[in-house]
Amino acid sequence: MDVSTEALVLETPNPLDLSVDDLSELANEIQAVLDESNYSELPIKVWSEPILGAANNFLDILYVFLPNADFFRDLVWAPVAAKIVNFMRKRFSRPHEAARTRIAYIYGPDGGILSSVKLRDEFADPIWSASGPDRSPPVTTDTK
Amino acid sequence: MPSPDWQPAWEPDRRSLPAACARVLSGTTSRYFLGGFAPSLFVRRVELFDFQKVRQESDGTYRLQTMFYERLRSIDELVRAAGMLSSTTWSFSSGVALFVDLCLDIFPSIYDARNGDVPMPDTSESAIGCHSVLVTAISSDRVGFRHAWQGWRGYGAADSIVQSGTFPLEYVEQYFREAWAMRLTPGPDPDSVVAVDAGHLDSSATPDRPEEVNDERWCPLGRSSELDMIACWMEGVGSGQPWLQCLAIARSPAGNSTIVGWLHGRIGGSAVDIEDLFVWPPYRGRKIGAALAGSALYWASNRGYRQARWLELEADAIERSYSARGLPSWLRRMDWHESDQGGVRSATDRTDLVACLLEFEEIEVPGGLRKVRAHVGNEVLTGLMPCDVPGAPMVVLGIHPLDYCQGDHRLCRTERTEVRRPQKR
Repeated sequence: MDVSTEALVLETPNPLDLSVDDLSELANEIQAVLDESNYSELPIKVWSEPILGAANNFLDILYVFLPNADFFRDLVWAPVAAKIVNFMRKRFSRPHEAARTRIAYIYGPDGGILSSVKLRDEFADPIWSASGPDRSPPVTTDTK
Repeated sequence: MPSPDWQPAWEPDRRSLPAACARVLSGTTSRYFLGGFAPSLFVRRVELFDFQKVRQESDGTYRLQTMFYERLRSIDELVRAAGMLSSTTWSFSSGVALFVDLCLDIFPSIYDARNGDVPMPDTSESAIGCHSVLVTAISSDRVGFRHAWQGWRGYGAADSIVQSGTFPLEYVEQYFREAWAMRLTPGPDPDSVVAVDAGHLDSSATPDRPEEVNDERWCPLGRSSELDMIACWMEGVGSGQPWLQCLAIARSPAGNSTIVGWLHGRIGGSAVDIEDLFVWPPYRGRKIGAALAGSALYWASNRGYRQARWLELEADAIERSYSARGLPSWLRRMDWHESDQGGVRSATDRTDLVACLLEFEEIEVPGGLRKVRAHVGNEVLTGLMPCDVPGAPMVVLGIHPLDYCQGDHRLCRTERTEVRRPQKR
């Protein structure tokens, strides 16, 4: 089942770096936002692909799959995006990671890129962009 | 051999090849390529297939652009191979380029390594996964590398995608996962600076022993109406041991020949360690792998190498898990064993290769092969040997318990054959 059509999915490309537990904290924060909106029934799922090969990245990357394109244009998106940016900002305080650029890619349910947001340091303004690589949505039945 | 009407079911589109290859091989997306350097066997296979250019001249000469990959088994081999990068005495053929890839565990302290000099991790750190780098130099205490980490504060321009740094040699020794040496041979690409004549398909050029030829000269192994198999000896950059590289080239009516399979064997003493035997997925099911292995083992057996061992790397397990249906049936039937050599799985001379032999029976190789089975105590030994060479050495393919056949006496009812001194048929 392609859950990204029915859920908001948070995916980590490297669970040894950005852990599933960390993403669950973000999921809880986003859930609190959704509870106050029309999307209170929307499930949030945390996903991690099996690690194959060796292509570790310097960038701290988070993938977010939205349930539909309307979600991206809905009023609820602004507070959800703020939670994502805040989550990324807090990660600068981890040991050895003060100079590590953070990027979150925001996708539609089909994996088409909707937006990306970059943070160069802990106090920098987020840099939003409409470009980025497309990505296949995860296929999972796991539910947070 | 492929049947006379054999044709590839799928012709590669080179413009989209890397992504397509990744999917064909692993069932995954192309992110291994987008992620920068990624080692492991299956990526090496894709690279070889992608890099190749093959042209057959009117006189039958092949002109090749290909690569050869060599797994470095230890730190010592890595050090030796890295030393070759700056060696002035290494006698590569003109235009051949050498690359050394290293894969190792990394820790968060690499993120803020001062000037790219990665420190030893402290005890509070946990590994964040494997990382692959291109080795550029080595000294008595550090290993220089490059990797595609834009924004990392290594050597080089701050905005450059490629950054350079160093690992302590102690770090590499402690967190080494795998390493590969690759050499690229430029060929008939019209834009290439150097074109290398790969040699004629002339049996008189066949080297008898690897120590006699180190100039990467290609020699014929076998030929059918659709397929040529050629081989050459090379000196390993990691160990200095000889390697056997065999290629199966599918001739195309349009003149666009393609390397569709290959075997890389490493010589150790009197044995050949088959480090890789691979057939490009769309070309499987046509006994190309069997023909390649049979021809290579025949050639090696005729030159005094009495044993062959088969090594399987982790990448094979990955590939198998994702595309089991794409593997040759005789490879699927093998009984794999985990070894203690850092992720290497080995199918040694005590491993189930009998099923493989059933298909070897169906192939033809120069001079002919025959399958040998012998009862050794409570076990059945199987092997390959040439038909026309009395007393020829045998390539041992497997030793199995007598009850292995489980009633299928095709596997064990054959004549009792002397192992050391087989009789000519």
